[in-house]
Amino acid sequence: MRPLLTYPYRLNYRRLTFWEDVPLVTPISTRTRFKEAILRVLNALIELVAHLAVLAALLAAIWLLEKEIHHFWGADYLFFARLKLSYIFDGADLAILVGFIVWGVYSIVKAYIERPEW
Amino acid sequence: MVAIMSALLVKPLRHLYRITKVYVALGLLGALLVIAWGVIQAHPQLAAFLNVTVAVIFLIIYLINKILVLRNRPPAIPDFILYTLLPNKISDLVIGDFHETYCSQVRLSLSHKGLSSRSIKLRADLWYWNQVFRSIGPLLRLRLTAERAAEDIAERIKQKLSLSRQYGNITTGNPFHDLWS
Repeated sequence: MRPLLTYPYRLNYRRLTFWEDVPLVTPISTRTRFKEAILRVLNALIELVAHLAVLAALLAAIWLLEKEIHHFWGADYLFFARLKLSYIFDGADLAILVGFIVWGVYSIVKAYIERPEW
Repeated sequence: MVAIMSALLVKPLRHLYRITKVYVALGLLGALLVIAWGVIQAHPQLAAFLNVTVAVIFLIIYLINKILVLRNRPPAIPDFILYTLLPNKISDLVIGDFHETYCSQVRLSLSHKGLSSRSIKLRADLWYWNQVFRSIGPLLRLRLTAERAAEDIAERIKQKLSLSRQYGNITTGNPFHDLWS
């Protein structure tokens, strides 16, 4: 829609048009914007799935290892007559989960924010 | 074909590998922290020993770093020339900037594989010597002109004071008010 002819209405001699007609931002079609939004969501989802898959694999591996060691040493084995064997596996689980809460959430948000590649 | 394979297979696998590395490292760190906590709980006297060990490790890293820094030190003679010729107020700043450029040159050349470490040092040294050699003339001129200006100012202050004594008034205003006229 052309703006109303009001003062000051400056002529752009190079393009033989008025400055008021020149768009400051290159217009993007709704279709392109929609595509970009979909791609952003997809990237974030891929990131989330990758993190969850790695997390699940590692937690399952730790759980299996724990089961195996419990089978050989017994579930109530004490290191230095004080430290429970299962505490070590719990520590590893906790560190991984805290890492997911911090780094995983950060990378998912980053994947959503950054410009998607076409 | 290679590009499609890279996009579909290599890139996601690399990404997964990177994520896995970080999480495995975190898991190991958690387990090690729990073990360390258990050890300290069982033997409290070990805490001091562990502190000393950590301190010694940090000290060794610091010393290695120092040695590496000292090996890449710029030559001492141009430093001395700069210290003697530069005005005292800015000498540290200027020489610090020179050192920074020298070190960055050495570091940049180290990342370049075609040169031996000796030739890298030699090139950086030659650059430093060249810079200092070319600054000797301008610095000497600056020093002489500055001394002349200082003498001029002292002479003007003396005149002013003698005039004020002559007229019996010390507070005649700013002694420099006609300095640039």
